This record gives sequence, structure tokens and C-alpha cells, in this order.
Amino acid sequence: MAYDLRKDSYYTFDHDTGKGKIYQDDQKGVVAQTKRVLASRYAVLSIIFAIVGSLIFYNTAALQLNASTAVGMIESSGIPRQQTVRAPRGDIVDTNGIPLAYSQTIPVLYLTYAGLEDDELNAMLLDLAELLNRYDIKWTSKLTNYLDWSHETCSHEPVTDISDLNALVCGEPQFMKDAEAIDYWQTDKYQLGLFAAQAGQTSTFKNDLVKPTANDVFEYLLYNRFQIEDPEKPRQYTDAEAFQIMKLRYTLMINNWLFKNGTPLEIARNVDPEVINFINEQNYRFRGVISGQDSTRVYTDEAVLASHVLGYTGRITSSQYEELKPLGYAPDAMVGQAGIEQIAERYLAGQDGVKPYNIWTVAGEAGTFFSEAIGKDPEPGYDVRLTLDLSLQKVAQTVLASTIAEIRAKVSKANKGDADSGAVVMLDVRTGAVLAMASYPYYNPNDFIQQATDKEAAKRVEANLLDGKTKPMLNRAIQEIYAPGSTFKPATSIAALETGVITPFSNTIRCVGTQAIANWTWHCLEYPTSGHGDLSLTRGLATSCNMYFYTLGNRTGIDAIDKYAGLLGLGNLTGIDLPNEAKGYRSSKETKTLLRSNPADQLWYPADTCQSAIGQFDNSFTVIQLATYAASLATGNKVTPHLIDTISTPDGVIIKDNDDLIPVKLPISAASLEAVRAGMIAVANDPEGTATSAFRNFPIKVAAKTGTAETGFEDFSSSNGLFICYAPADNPQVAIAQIVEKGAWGSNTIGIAKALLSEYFDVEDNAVAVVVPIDSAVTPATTPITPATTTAPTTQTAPITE
Amino acid sequence: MADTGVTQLKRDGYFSAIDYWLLIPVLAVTMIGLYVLNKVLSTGFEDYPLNFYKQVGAVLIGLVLAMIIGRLELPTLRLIGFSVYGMSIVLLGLVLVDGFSMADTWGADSWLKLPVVGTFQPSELAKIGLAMVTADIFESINFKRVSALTGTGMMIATYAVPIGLIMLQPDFGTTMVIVFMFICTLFVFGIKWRYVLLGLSTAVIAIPLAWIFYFSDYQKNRILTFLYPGHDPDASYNLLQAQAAIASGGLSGSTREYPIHVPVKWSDFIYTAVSEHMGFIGTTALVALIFFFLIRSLFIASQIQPHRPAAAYMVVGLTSSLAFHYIENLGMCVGLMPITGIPLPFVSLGGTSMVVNFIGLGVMLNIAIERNLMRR
Repeated sequence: MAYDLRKDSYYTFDHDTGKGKIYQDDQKGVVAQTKRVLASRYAVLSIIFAIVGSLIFYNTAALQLNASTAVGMIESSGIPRQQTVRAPRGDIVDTNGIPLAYSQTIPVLYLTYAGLEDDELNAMLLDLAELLNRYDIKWTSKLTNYLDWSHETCSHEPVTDISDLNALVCGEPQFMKDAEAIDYWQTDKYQLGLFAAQAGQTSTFKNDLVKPTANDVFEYLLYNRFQIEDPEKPRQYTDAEAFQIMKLRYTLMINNWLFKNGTPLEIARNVDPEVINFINEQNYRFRGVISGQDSTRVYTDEAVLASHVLGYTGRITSSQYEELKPLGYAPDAMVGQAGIEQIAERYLAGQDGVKPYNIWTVAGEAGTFFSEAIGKDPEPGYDVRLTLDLSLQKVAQTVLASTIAEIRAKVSKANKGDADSGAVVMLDVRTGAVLAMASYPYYNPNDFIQQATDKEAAKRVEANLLDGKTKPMLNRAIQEIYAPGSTFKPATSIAALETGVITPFSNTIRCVGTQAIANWTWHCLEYPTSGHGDLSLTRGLATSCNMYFYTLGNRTGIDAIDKYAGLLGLGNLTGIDLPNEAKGYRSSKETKTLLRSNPADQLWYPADTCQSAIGQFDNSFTVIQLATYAASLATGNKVTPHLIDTISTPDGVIIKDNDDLIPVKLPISAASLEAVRAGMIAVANDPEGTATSAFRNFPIKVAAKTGTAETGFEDFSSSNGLFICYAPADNPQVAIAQIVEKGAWGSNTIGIAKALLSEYFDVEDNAVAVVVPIDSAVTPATTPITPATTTAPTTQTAPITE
Repeated sequence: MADTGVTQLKRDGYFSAIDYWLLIPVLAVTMIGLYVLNKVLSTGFEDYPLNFYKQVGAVLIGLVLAMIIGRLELPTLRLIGFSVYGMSIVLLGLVLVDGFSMADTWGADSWLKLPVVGTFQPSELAKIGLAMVTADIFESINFKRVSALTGTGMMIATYAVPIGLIMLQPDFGTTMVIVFMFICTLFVFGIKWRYVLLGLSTAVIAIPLAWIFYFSDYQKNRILTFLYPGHDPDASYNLLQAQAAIASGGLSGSTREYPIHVPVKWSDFIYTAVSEHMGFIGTTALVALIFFFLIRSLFIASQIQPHRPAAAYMVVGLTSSLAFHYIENLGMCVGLMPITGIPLPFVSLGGTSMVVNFIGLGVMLNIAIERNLMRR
């Protein structure tokens, strides 16, 4: 029984309006109800809806259930075009897995040839330019390197809102380069390709003669080259709009051949996904505009401190392309150009993929959409884990820089305050794993990646490449060779001990201050008149007395010194996994012959042996050699220094592991090594030691050797400061070698090693007091006071190192 | 006197009075939508599954809101109608202010960014508000509470404000929904057949004539582009792809390894995804459920009409608004209608749109309960 709602309803029901009369309570039953419904407008509407629903059902079913439609629709021919999808490069991580270099996928907009020409193309390009401007997407054209709009005559402030075209382009066109560059630009057949005007010819926008003013070039491009406007008709675009079109047309023009053959040209990168969606949805409007991905290298902020180790990637060079082409490299591939990036290129680089792309072309070419899922997916590169410890690397690079700055600041007689560069290497003596490797000055590898789009970065890259004085691109740890100075003395000692000139128990030599040895008069640097007196090997190393080693070297002979220095790895390639390692030179009769062209200079004098024994003369080694040398002194083994720990696939399967680089035992007796180690321990612990003051109260027992190597340019610059060490002395774990060019004293540099050891051994007090008033370790190159009886080797400065 | 509204509901139980013939089809459509949406979103969406969870959340919120609205009494409902209408006017105004810098040639910018709610289109609310408020005016004219002239004036005023604001965006799609809504309501209100015929014949004659003689090609193109953003006279790429995708579904879903590319498959073209994943069976179920729901609500309106014309007009308004969406969206996928950017209610991705549709459903449920209670 229905009830009456009317009384308490908000709506009052009026019987007289008639509408309510259709409903009658007593009319029950299906037939009556159906009749009532059919008589009503509702029924009519329902029937209309039902018909429409049936139509939709029918149309859907016709598509679904007709096999031929389905097949025909899906398999109909389309436009077979494809683009390369660049594979992401593998990551480079430090020994703890902290990322140093990774790949970032960035969305890129490309323009492909879709059959559009002239007016249609121009309209579409303007549409596109406006879209990009609206979303603040930076896009560049090479045209603006030559031709742009001057803002000198503008009345308004410089605009930041690039979506306002008319504010962006005001004033008048002007050339952006000097006359010569503009003339070349106009006549170069790969650019504008105009002809110089002959006598009697006048340049107008209608002909292909070189244009005198920027405005003429603008009009030529506007009316003639790109046919943006018809000179006979009123203008359809403003200058600002026309210039947007011009910029894009210029990009197409200089890549015309590639473009017409289906190569997508990059227009903008880092494009908002929203814009990409918009363009994809309106692909009939932005004909030929496709989106794609590019993968770009990113180095973390901290990785900048390991720039020389990591290297950087850059556009493949023609010689690299010839070599890598068979491996499927594209002519515009990005390949490693230095460091690990270069050496591990074949692992880091993945395999580029090929994907079909889809464009909406003019009538007749409409076809099937090629799913992006078909085609070949790019295969990402393998990941490289380094032995480098980022925390140590940070200390190495920052303390190296700060130490150089400190040395510059304390000018003295021997220190001209010109220290400007240096390098440090820290090895694990047990495996040869490089824990830190720094070279100063360094560079930012990101600049090399960004130089194409970032003008500031390009400037920095150029400055780095052109800087011939400090050479920031040079990895001084492996690519530069230095006279080792006194750090060579342990090698001389080993040679003397192994050949039996001295023994671990009988090795006293007297230093009397000034003495003739090997037909040359030499002076003790510290006590030229009184001398050190009787020196044992230990004390000789601790005080680094040159007189001791002149005598020792003279007795041992250059051939034995050469042999044992070579065994300890000096002057030999270490085999580190970095490109362009320098070999250096060991002083020897052969080397002297090799390095000098004049036969008179090739004769070997006994004084040369004395020079060589203290690490001067032809001796010149890399810092990495000095580091492996220190490691060999520490363990008696020869290690292969290496930076790559493991290489693994993206799934984590290790395909290369450098754990199999097993140290080789050296043919040097334990007793000899012990005797030299005692000397090196004394260097850092004995009151007379040249590094003792720096390591006073240092909780770890260190064995070390300082070195100050003359470069032969002492009149203009300071000597190089070197330092090698290993620690802990009684159970060696790490070895360090370092140099500060023009650092004046070897002991000046100790702070770097001390900071590294503090970090490695977790020593609390990191403050390093490098206050050494007198450094006895200085070794003069050739400063004879009185000429001896034989011909003085006056040309014998360190010839290699500068 | 018999118990009324809520009192009776309390006695008999709310859930026994719900019109399940109305509710269950909608829920089924929603389920199909979620199933397909999950498939579509799981391939190639970075924020998957978050976006899917959001959709599920919107369905749940919408369902709760619909249930709450279903329990209200009609006077409260009327109040809600006026509130929704007022709110939509304010928000439509806000769109213009907020989106002032964005209104441009890139198509309609009808989206509003609100805190908590996120982006949403106030025009969605406007449809519900209009359906509810104009139903009241229609009833007043029906009962001669106001004269036909005054009523017409009120009607024009009620329509003019939101339509004006929507046209300023400009959003022609929504305007057409509202016009369709008005025509349907006017039709069931009882406009005389001769006027219907007159209107139809005028349209049939005038539009082609104007098209042929009055408009230039250029203007035609402009009009078409305005009506259908993205219109291109010789472009049928989207339609071809949509039809290919539907065809690939076959009897029970596509066996292809890769789906066919259709633009905005998660929204405007989701029907193609339904076919791809569920085939003939899925689309038939979907279409049947949708049109059963529409016809069922018209049936309910027809039964409540003698008692409460306003309620009936309300249902007709809401139903015809949904119907327009369904007909236009499904029609464009199979090539019966021109392609416009209109989502499929209760199916397409979009949280606020889902909630607003459920609010509309709540109003319809409320009136259906009213009708069911009367039948007892």
C-alpha cells in the first residue's frame, strides 16, 4: 500500500496540473504497467537509449567478431621507420657501492621528415616553438650563434618569460660574430652556401649573393630560403614568430640530408612528460615530431673529486669510430675518453636498441602504429665497482688541494710559493687495490657532458684543455714522471745489500761534510763542514744524508742499482687499469745513451752513479710506481695496482673479478728488506728522522721516506716535494706515494699522507702539524763546488721532469 | 499517517529499500573499469600502482558518499542541490581566475587545482547542480507555482551563469552535455510533440544549409576545431587505432603480445582497452550494464513523476548527463560519433570525476529508495 507523502513533503502536489493523474494506485499488473510506461515520454527516451546502445553493441561486435577486419586492420602497411635508442651506460661505484657515475634517461624531442614542406612546415614549426616556449623548455638553434636580435633599442627590461615571443625578439637582427666568421658562415657550402658578389651584382633577398647586413640575411631567409613569407603578400607572421620558424628551419637545413633520409633530428631535451603526452596525442598536428629517450652520463658531486680516475665520456672521434664500428657503435656514440670510462668502455657501453617510431604523415602514408614494444630493446652496459674508497678519495683530493695551498702560503728561501700541482696514490699493499688516487688540479667531468648545451661548461672545458701550465686534464699519478729524489734511497740500499757491498750488520759509512767521491767533490747538505760522522744504513736513511748514498752508490755500481730498482717496479709499467700510463726512466748506461743524441754526452761517468743513487740524474718515475715500490718494500711482493674491483651485469652477475691479481714474491732477501724497513721506520720515528716531527704522537707506526727532487729549474721554481710511506710498519696494510710539484720540501707534503692514514685507521685527531724547520732530505741535482779532475757533467739536471 | 522517509527507513532497514537494480549494474561497470584500468596502468606508468590505488580509493569514497546521500530526506537533498550548484559556480569562476594565464590556444583549460582534492573539473559538479536546481524550477512551472514566463526567466538565469562560465573556458564538450540534459528534461517535462518536431526539423534544415552556404571552408575548419579540439579534416589516426584495438579483442580478449597504441587509453579511449582485455564478452557486458542502468533510472523517474515531478526531473537530468557521456564516448570509439575528449563515467581514470559521479548516483539512489518505499 503506497502512502501519501504530500502533506509532509516539501513539494506540494497539485491534482489539477494533470501530470500526476497518470499514476493510479489501482492500476496493477504487468500489462497495465507496461501500457503506462509506453505512453510516457520516459518510454520514448528509454527506447532511444536502447537503440543507441544496440548500435554501439553492433558496431563493437562487428569489429570484434569479423576476423578479417581484425587482421586487416592490425596488419595493414605502415611507415617503416626506426630510430636508435641509446643504451644506458653502466654505473661506476666505489668499493662500498656508492655511485660515482650513472646514466640518466632523459626525454628528447626529435623532428623527423613527415612530408611537410614550406607553409605547412612553417606553421607546424611555429606551433611547436610556441608550445616549447610556453612550457619553458630550452631549445637551441645554431642560427643564433650567427644571427640574433639586438636588444639595444628595446625599451623594456630584459625578459625572462620566454613565452612572450614579441618581448623576446625586439630591436633588429644583428650578427653575433665578427665579419670574417660571418663571411665564412655565409659562403660555407655546409652552412648558408652563398656566393660572393661579383662586380655589377647587387645582393638582394632574391639572389644567392652574400648579404652585407644582418637584416638582409634575415630577409633572405624569410622570403627566399625558407619561404616563410611571400614578398608579394602581406606578412602573416610577426618578426618574432618568423624568427622562431627560422631557427628550427636552420637546424633542418644544415642536417638536410640526414633529415630527408629519415634520421630524427634532436630539437629539445629534458622535455616535460606533459608536453610529450600532449604532442603524442596531437601527432597529426605536430607532424613528424616524435619523442624518444637519450641516456646521458651523470657524475655525482663527490665523483668530481675522482675525476682523473673516472675520466669522462665524449662524442666518438673518427679514429675511435673506425675501431669501434664493427662492434655496432653509432657515428654519434658517446664513448669513454679518459680514465675508467675509457679503459672499461667495452663493458660500460651497452648495446643500442632499435625501435620503430610513428609519425602522422600526409595522406597516403597513414598506416599501422608500430608498437614501441616491438623492435630491439637497448641492453644496458655492465656496472664497474672500483677499489677506490670514496671517503679516502675525498680526503686525498681535498687535502692534496689544501696542502698545495698551504705550501704556497709559506714562502721561504727555498720555497718560492709556486706549488701548483701534485698527485697522491694510496694502495692496499696486500692486493694492489688502489684505495685513493688524486691529481691536482682536477676537472669536473660533468662539464664534458654538458658542454653541448651549457655555454659555461663549454668554456670551462676549453680552459682545462688549453691550460698548458697546470694541465688539469693530466692524471699526474700515472701520466707524469718525476725524479724520485731521496725516495729512491731505499732502492739503492736494497741494491747495495743484495750485492753484498754492505750487510745488514756492517754498513757504517762516515760522512765528513765535504768529500771527493768518484772524481767529484760532494758536500753534505746539512753539515757541509763537520759532516754527520759515522752513519749506519738506518741513520743514513733517517737523516737522508746524501754523502752516505753517494758513497754507497759508487760502491754498488749503476748496473746493480738499475737491476734492483727495476725489480722494485721503478721505471716499469705497473699495468694499472688506466689508459696512457707513463713508463718513466731508470738511470742506467742504456738510458743515458737513449736520451742523449750527442755521442759525447752518452758516456757514463762514475759521478752519474752517485747522482743516480740519490734519485736524480735520469731517474724519473710515476707516482703509481712509487706507490707500488713502497708496497714492495713493505711486503717483499710485487703487486699489480688496479682500480677495477669487479665488473658485473645489470643483473648482478660478476663477469670479471680482479681478486685473481696475485702478488708475486720478489727475489730479494728478507734480511735486506728488514734492514731498509728499519731505516724507513727511523725516518718517521727516530729523533733524527726527516718525518718524525710530523708523526709524533701518531698512534700508527709508520715507515716512510721523504724526498725533495731538484728539477733543474731551481732558479725559477721550487723543488718537487715527494713522500712515500707504508703503515702500520710492523703489519703493513697500506702504502702511499705522493708529490707536490714545486712543493719545495718532501716533508711539506706529509700532511696529505697523514690525513689519509688518519682516515684509513680512523685516527681521531686529524689535525696535521707539518712543521719541519729544516729538511735534510733535500738532494741537490748537480751543485759541484769545485770541479773535479774529470769532465763535469754540467748538463746533468733532471732532464725529463719539469 | 504513515511513517515517512527516514522514519520508515529506520524501521524497515536501509539496505532492504535500496534499489539494487540501479546499484549493482553501476558497481559491475566500476569493477570492469578497475580490472581493465589495472591492466592498462600496469604497463608503462611510472607511478603504478599508486595511481590504481587512488582510483580504488575514489571508488570506495564515492560509494560511501552515495550511500550517505541515499539516506537523506528530499528537502535536505534539495538543499544539497542548491549548495552544489552554488559551489560549482564559485569554482567555475575560480578556474577562470586561477587559469587566467593558462587559457590559450592549447585547448580547454577547465581543471582546477585544489588542496587535498587535487586537480578536478568544476564543470562535473555544475552538471549535478544544474540537474537538481532546474528540476525544482520545472516542477514550479508544472504546478503553476510560477507563471510560464517567470519560470522560463528563472530557467534562463539558472542555465546562463554556469554555461557562460563554461563557455569562457571554453569547454564545448560540457556545454553540449548540459544542452542535452536540458533537452531531455524538457522532453519528459511534456513539451508538445509539435514543438519537438519543429525544433528537430529546424535543426535538420538549418545546419546543413548554414554549413553549405554560410560558412567558408576556413570557418568550417575553425568551427570543427573549436567543437572538437584536435580536429583535423583528414586525420583519422586515433579512430583507426581505436578500432584496431577493439577489433584485436576478438571474442574474449586480445592474444597479441603487445597492445595496440591508442592515445589516452586510460581515459577517453578506455573502451578500446576493455575490448582488448575482455573482448566481445567484456564489451557486451559493459554496454548491456550501462544501458540497463540508464533505462532503469528512467523507469524509476517515470514512477516517481506523479508524486514528485522535481525528483523525476532530477533523475532525468542526471541520467541524460551520464547518457550523453556514454553515448559520445562509446560512440566515438566505434566511429559513430566525432572524437572528443570525454571520459567514460565510472570507468575512466580520474578520482574526482569518479567521486562526483557517485554523488550523482547517490541522488538517484535516494529517489529510487523513495519510489521503492512508496511501492510497499
